[in-house]
Amino acid sequence: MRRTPPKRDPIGDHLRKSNAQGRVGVDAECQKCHEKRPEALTTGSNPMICAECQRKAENRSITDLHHVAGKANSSIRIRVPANDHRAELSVMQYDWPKETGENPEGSPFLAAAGCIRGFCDTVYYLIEIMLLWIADLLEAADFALTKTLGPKYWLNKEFEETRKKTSTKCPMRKSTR
Amino acid sequence: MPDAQIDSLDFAVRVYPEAHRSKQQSRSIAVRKWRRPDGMLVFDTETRIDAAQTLLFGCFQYIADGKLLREALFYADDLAIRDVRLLHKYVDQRQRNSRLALITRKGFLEEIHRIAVKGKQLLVGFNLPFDLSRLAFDQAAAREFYSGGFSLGLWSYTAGNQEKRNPYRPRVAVKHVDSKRALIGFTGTRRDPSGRTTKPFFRGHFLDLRTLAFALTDRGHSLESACKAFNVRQGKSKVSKHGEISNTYVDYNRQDVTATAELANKLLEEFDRHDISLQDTKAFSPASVGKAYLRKMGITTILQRHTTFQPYLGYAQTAFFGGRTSAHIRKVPVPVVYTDFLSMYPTVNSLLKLWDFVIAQHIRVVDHCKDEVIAFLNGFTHEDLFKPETWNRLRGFVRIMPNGDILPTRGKYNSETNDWQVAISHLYAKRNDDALWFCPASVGNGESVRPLR
Repeated sequence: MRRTPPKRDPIGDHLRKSNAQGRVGVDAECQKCHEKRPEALTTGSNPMICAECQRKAENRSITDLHHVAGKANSSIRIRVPANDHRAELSVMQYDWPKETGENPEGSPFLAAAGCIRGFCDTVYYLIEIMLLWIADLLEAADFALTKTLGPKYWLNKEFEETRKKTSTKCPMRKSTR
Repeated sequence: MPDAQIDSLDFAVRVYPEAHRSKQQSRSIAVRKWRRPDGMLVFDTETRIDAAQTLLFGCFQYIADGKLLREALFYADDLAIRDVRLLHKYVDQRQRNSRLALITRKGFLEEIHRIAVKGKQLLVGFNLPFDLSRLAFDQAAAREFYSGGFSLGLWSYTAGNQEKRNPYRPRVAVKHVDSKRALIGFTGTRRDPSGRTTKPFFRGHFLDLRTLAFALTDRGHSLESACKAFNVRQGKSKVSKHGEISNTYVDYNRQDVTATAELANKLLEEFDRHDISLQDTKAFSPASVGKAYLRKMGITTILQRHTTFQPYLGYAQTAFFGGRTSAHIRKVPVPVVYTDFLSMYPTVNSLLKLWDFVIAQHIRVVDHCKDEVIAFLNGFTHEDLFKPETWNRLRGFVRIMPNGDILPTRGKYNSETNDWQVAISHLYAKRNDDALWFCPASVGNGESVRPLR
């Protein structure tokens, strides 16, 4: 599975990233939480600080209200961490066609396009932060257990029952047999 | 003055003008640190085969962090509909395997503006001035820094039937130094958002691989020879027929762009092996690399060590006669005599121990040693020239008023070519104050020389 959605305009995406990196400098990171995404870092801050840490220091909320479909298309907002808002969700919206994002005349079709694009972006974001890390964790755990208990470490262990369940229920596994 | 009739001839000497640059300006240039952009737009054009060599089509690749992000073909505005259809067909056939696109010349220029002007990324090509001029819709004589070169208008808009220059976009100025090197930059000014003041456009990062290959190898390369020299895997291919669009011709053009992109990576890799602080887009010659090494070694310029040395640099410039080669008869076989010295500058530098002057903390100028210099020059024999101790005494400058002495001069000796050339000839001073600086090696046996200082 790919970790990021395909870019509609890969050149624009790279230029924005490069520009953001240029603003904060190469290898810049937040001195408090080690956040490295350049979009999340505050330009010109010394020492370098990210949006969330800056707000924490100022006793402000560390979350933002994100317009899922773009401000011009829908008023629906969801609460997301400020760093993710800047470095993930807004960045995804910059990749939309300019007309969809801005929708100056209030076209209902562009608004609908914005809703679809916003929904897809949010789902990608949620998959990334809520699911894919679990897959990474499971793979790391398997590696560690194989190293310490040897291959087939699940035999005669309570994992075995779980494995049996997953193998019988998996339709893909059946079809390949 | 001898009895024979002597014609007077204008001749030229080198000078060392004092640069008017504020201290603050020079400091800001010194501290600015170069960071190579991580994206590069590599392109190549194919042209018609008539005398005008106008644009037919071209290809570009945008590569960032070593990954190909976009590849597209672009075509001339006046391309025949049949050829445009051929290109469309070509792109449709290949779109399954690669995300190839087809855009117009104007579409490509928009990409250049977005990437190279606004995005400040590298614009890469082999012999860039040629390819840039194929994209231009007008040209004019360049001014100011690029004076003597030409200025290309790339971005335009159509008003009625006329194509006019877009005033909100820069022009591209090109000034050739020689066949391998050219200064290229975006020129013009733009208004700031308030509309009151103007700022110059970003100068641009133009990377001409022909120039970089020359700076790294001291050889004039073609794309093919450079690819061979730097072990490019997918080198330049060959095509039987130029100037007519066909699938093989488009393949050839795309292959050229791929080879150029790979060559760019190889050259930049090679450049990075030099631990010097030199911008790769400003490595114009091996001398640029050499100077960067001197800076790295902590050797400052002579004027930084000696603020009062300016006049002596002027004398040195006047006394310097560097040979210049030019061909006036081209493409006609003629008998030639090969007269060249291999590596003459480093040899002279080594034999005369001129390196001492480069690294010396302090240089003491001995003035008013007329009698000593006259005695040395008069006692000079051909045999002495083979003695290293003589070479050490040739490190200096003498100001002489020539009286039929055989000396180097730079003049227009041939009225047909109208070209400044260095010649060794009998020289006479016209007036009593017609004195010039020479180095002792040029003066030779000074029987008739009357040094003034």
